[in-house]
Amino acid sequence: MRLRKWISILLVLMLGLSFVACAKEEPQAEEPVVAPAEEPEEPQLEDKVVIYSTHSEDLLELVATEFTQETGVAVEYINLKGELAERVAAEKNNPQADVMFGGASNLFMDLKAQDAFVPYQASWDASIDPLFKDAEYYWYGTIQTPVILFYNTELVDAEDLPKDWADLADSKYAGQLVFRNALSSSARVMYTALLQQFENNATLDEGWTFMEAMDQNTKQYFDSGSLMMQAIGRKEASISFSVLNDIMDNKINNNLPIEIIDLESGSPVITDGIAVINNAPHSEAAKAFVEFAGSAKVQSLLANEFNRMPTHPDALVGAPSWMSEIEFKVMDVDWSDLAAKQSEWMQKWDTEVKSADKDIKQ
Amino acid sequence: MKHGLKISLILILGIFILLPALRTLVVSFDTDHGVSFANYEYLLTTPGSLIAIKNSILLGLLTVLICGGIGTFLAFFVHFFDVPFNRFLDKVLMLPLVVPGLIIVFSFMQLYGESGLVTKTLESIFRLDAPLYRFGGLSGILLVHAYTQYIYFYMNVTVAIKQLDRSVMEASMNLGASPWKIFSTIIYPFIKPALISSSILTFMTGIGSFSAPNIIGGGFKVLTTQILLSKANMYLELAAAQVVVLSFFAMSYLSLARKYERKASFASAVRGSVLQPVKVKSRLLKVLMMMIATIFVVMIFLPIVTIGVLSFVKPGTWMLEIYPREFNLENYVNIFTKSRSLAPFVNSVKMAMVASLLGVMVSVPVAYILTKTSSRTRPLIEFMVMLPFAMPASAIAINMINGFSQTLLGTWVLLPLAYFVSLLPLAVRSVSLSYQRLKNEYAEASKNLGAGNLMTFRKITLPLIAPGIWAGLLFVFIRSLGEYTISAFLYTASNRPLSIAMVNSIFEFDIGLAMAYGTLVLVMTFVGAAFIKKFQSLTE
Repeated sequence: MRLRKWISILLVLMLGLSFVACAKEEPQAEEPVVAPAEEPEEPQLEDKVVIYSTHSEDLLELVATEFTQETGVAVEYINLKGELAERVAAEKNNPQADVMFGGASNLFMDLKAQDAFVPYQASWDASIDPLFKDAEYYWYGTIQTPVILFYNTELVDAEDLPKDWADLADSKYAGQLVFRNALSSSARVMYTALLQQFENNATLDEGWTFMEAMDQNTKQYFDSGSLMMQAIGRKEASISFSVLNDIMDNKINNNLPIEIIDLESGSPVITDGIAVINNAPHSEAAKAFVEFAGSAKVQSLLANEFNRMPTHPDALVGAPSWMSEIEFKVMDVDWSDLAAKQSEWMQKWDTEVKSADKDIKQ
Repeated sequence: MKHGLKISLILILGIFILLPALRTLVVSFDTDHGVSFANYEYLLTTPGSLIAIKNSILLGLLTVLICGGIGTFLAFFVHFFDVPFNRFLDKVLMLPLVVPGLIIVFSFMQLYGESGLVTKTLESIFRLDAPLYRFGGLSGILLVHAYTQYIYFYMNVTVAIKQLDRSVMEASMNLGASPWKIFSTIIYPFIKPALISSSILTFMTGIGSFSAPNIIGGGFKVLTTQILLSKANMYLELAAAQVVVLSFFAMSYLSLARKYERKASFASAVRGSVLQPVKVKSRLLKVLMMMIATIFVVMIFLPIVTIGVLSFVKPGTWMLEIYPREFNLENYVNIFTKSRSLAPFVNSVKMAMVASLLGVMVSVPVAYILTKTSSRTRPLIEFMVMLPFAMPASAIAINMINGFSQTLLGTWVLLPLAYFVSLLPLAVRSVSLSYQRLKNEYAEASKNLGAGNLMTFRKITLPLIAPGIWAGLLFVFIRSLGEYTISAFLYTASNRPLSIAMVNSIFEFDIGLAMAYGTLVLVMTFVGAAFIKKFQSLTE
């Protein structure tokens, strides 16, 4: 019967596929895990560690590969971007991940308050400025990430640049701005930090008016930093903000004609954190990963490979020269206050502000 | 034994379909101040949220109108008139059915986006300073929907046209009826049930659409994207309320349309002569028809070909230029040599297999109960099985989160389970079709000859319904393979699927890699679809 032939072909096909699937499953399985030699009393590490992150695939792959080489522990990771904190919080009762790697310090403060982490004191604890860590060792900042306004130098003259954030509401920038949407973790910090500046002067209402005006001038909100960079590179718009490492990366490696804009009230500098998740399924490997990812060696690696500014002073030594040369004012942000308000403000921004005019524009 | 089977079926359906949905309903009334309507009040009074609700409904209705127009036009174009190459046209027009929506969105972005290939080409041909059009927002979403959703109308109206009775039309023509009169009194009533039932499917996909609004929607907000945002802001109760509102609209339309469908359907009188395609005599008209046909064929092939071509773009190039210049096989080499790049492919195949096997295991007994028995539990089972059909994919994802937050959330298995739930109605329908064509006499004869129940099932029933089972299995398999909406809500580090890997690659500007993943999905989908066609023809 012909049907039987088809069925057998199909079965063979599926069987073949499942072999492929099984063969690749546990790359580390054949070798027993050995704890690092220099610390013999260290507890046995689990055979894998699961990382929830906001970092790019390239960065994660590099750190993961290095970590596996050093410890033999396999690393699974995903980049959850702006949804990272929610995922960690949602799985609190039944955690599936071991380490939260990346995301602004306000998220770590918020999640610490929700008992999502366990404290772990790293060996390099003393080298890190108190500004970049939790006093009770619940999280560490391992990367400094400034979020900075930048522009395409072929489209705007230096004298036409905005002097401060408030200028972005000016109608002369209509259609010139492209930003990230509320699912980007850096954009969430940026918008909330701006609103916080207004709230500190007890003018939050003006803040919302400003956000609406800025929204009027915005040409498009992007779901992706790379697509936004592409839009600036291809001259679809002239001004945008992004994390500094992305700006430098595109300027240096992709030769985009872009420069940063130093604004009067400054740019927020995010501390990208790392923490061991409470009740992590692979808690020992998680601690080892935090120890590893925050070390001067890895920080310096990320500085050189991905233009990420370190928090460990030793890592600054061999870092790219622009990190010590670049000059911009730092915005005064109250991160713990930001932690409390971000969700509420972002929900409001997305439902009430962002919609206000977009229908007309199309 | 029969009883045990039924009870376990009800348990499975209850645990994976009904309870999660009910749980979402309960969560939606959770607020800081105890149980209240506050979440709904917020949704129905905040202007931004109201816009999202309005937009969702608008999107659903416009999708129905546009797809209805295109699908019906094409059905008449290809099957009512004698168009050259109509068999080829028919095959081509069915292609977009199996292409995952996400892939179309990406392909359209590369073609019609502001810096897209077609946009820039037109710009340079006509020496324009600005693009001719803006791809995105409502019109962009509708374009994507038009491409992927006209097929339901096309298929159903085609079936209706083939049942048109030529003798009735000839008779009325001889009696002096105008073409319009013939259309409105003979043809339209015939295709009306087809129009209504296609509109149900189209409306569902329209209001439940996620990938297009999420990726190219820009400021055009709809409920599905707001659900993801509420979730990102940790307002799970609000997300639950949004899911309930969305499902409410979906179900209202479904029941309304079903009512009309029942009214409109009628049994045709004695079958007359089969309709022969109407010959087109005017040469001008013929040329015009050829042109229309060519345009459609090009429009359909262009995105598919684009994906294939772009999958060969050399990684790291094509940031500033309009056309890619360097091509090689690196993307494919990367996928099949780097275990991390291969992982999404392996994950998707495994999960699609789990989902399709579960689908078969549940749909075979369920389809039997629905078609061959009339037990008291039948309506309950039917309701539970068809529930996922009335719920948009994002609603199913949120239901799974609410239903399994303490147990399975974040584990590998939740995502394939969600695929299974969302595609179960499809599998059940496919298997039911086989059962309906299966004559009870065969099984009775076998039993009369002394075979037991199991023996009869194995030797008689199973071989006869096998094509339906295989078709159902493959349906679930290929639909799971490129699934994006549910995946976006539920994927974890251990099961990152192809669709998410594609989105990540696009967002990290590794377009070649994304398109290579897309090409793999397309190839597997087309192969699967070819098999489905084979099996379906065996059933008939």
